[in-house]
Amino acid sequence: MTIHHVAQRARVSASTVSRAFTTPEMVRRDTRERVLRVADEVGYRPNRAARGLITGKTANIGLIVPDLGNPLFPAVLKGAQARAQQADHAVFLADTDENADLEVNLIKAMAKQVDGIVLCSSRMSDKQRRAVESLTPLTFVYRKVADVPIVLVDNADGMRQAVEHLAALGHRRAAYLAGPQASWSNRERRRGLRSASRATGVDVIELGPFAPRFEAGLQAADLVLATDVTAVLAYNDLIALGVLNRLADRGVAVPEQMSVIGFDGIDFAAMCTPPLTTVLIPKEAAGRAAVELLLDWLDQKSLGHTAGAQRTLGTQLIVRSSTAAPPRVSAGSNGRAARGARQLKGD
Amino acid sequence: MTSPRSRPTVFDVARSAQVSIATVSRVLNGRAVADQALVARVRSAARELGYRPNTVARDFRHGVTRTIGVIVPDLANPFFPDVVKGLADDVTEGDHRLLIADCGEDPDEELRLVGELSGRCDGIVLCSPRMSAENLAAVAGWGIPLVCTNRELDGLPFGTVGVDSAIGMAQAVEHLAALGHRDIGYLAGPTTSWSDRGRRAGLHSAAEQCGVSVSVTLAGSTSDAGYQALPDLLRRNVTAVLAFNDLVALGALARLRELGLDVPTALSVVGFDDLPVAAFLGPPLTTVIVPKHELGRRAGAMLRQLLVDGAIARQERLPSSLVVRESTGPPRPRPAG
Repeated sequence: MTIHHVAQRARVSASTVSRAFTTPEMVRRDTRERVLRVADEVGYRPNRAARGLITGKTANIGLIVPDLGNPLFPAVLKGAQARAQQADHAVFLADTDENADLEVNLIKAMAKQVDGIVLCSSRMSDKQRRAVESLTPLTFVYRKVADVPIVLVDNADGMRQAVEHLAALGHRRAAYLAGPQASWSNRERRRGLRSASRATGVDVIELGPFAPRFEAGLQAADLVLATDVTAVLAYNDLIALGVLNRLADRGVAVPEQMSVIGFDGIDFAAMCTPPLTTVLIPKEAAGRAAVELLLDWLDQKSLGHTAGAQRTLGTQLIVRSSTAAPPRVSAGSNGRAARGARQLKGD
Repeated sequence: MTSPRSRPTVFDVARSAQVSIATVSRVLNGRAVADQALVARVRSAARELGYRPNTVARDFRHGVTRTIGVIVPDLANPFFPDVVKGLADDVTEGDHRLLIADCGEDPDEELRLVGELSGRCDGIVLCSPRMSAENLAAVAGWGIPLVCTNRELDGLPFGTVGVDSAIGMAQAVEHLAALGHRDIGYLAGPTTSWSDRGRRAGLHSAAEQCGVSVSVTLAGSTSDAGYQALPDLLRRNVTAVLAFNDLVALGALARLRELGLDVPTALSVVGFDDLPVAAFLGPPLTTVIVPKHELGRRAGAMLRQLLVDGAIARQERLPSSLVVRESTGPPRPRPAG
């Protein structure tokens, strides 16, 4: 018997049922009485809500992200919240600002306030992670960790699709604008690039690392133009948008003189000029799956099970107008590699 | 929608005792009130009405959690992450941590989240709260240190920091009028938004002064809302469109692109908020700068002061100002005859 059965029978919303148990003074008396009567009839027992009556708190879930300013993370939150709400939980967030030390402190603080935490694009080192893993149930999105529930996306395959697209257009030299070194997604995207580069014969030089924000793209564009590539693959859409902006300022036509591909598939990628070719990764679905795995794990924990469930979601290249056949003469300086550029070789 | 009518609220006590809600809150929370007759009147009214504070929500501990809570309507609107980051900067300086919640534009959820957060935080910032004045009054009765951004209400014991939208809006109208526009449209925001009210007020007042006529269409706060609402405005033969915010403007731009209408030649478009991304998307958007980061910072500072010395609530206003980019130009020539 779930909260939804009660809601349906009592002809109210699920959140009203919840409130009837946790904050009864917020519900009309006749409604509250009806809800309690129906709950009794169907044998509904709101364990978490009952706990709330005693302690004044209901169970909630934490979500920790590196940067709320990146639309990727609010999208993950949306999915997480939708799934959490079905279980009558709220989601509390914290923003680490790409700082692993802050991430550790936030986990320690949040562990007392929530039943479990979803870490999205965690930047902690393995050592830091081990120091906090026993504080509260932790699940990871966009990061591979052993022995805990995780939700991944197939970054390497997404990069493969992107490189094959460039190869099909005729590109022979491209630049990868790398993301944070602490990012699992970055490692996976590089891995996909290396293998696709070998398979297609497209040479990829790596620039960076860059912070995953617009401003970094502005800087990266100038570095790109100091090389002789004809295409750019950015760690993410925000960097790609910055690149587009700076190339426009410098009079370099996209896609005629330079092709640009982003990664993530945020909404803004479709709204820019020109609309950005990118690799779409599941975001809301990832958030939903993470909360589901966490809730399953919390339910099992009381029975002494450990959980190592892993879900990997697919990625999809979205071709828009920022990619085309390479120009006969590259927009950047011919033959001169940028300082700090390096060939993306196998490890 | 259920309303808390089965139990008396702070509003009821205030009305019965003929005092402000702020006074009711101070008396019932045991804070100092000079006038003892007033105190007696409030207590007697509360007793007669059978008023009892929300015991669940009152489970907060002063200065013990070192956490500040913040509730926003929609983190997918980059406006709110910027305000939150400003708040986070201040909170960190005060050696506190920030706990963030998103109510998804749902006023009931917003109210519930206040209850949830109050047991975990020393104080709460409500960003652009959507809940009714009645519910805000009820929340006032819970005695949690509270600051609102972009929502002002008379008589409630909250500190507020708000952006004066009317100034920037007036500058936008004057700019369009100077370019020659005489018929402009406004894609309006959520009806629960205090900011929208301020923008409309600035809009209508400036339009009247400039001799410009205004058509209003309800849109919302997302780019999709702008995309959907734009055709309705086009039917009213406007030569310029002002949007509730940059996201709505971006949605309108996308729709215009689809319709083959060039901006600014066929239509001028003005946004609001100055989202960083708006400068990157084509064409660079003329918009109104709103000091989002500062808004968050000031809210944090005000809340900290409230926690330290229980200062009486005050209202702060920050200015807005127009920035002209490339989405506005002279109106298209009218067809002859």
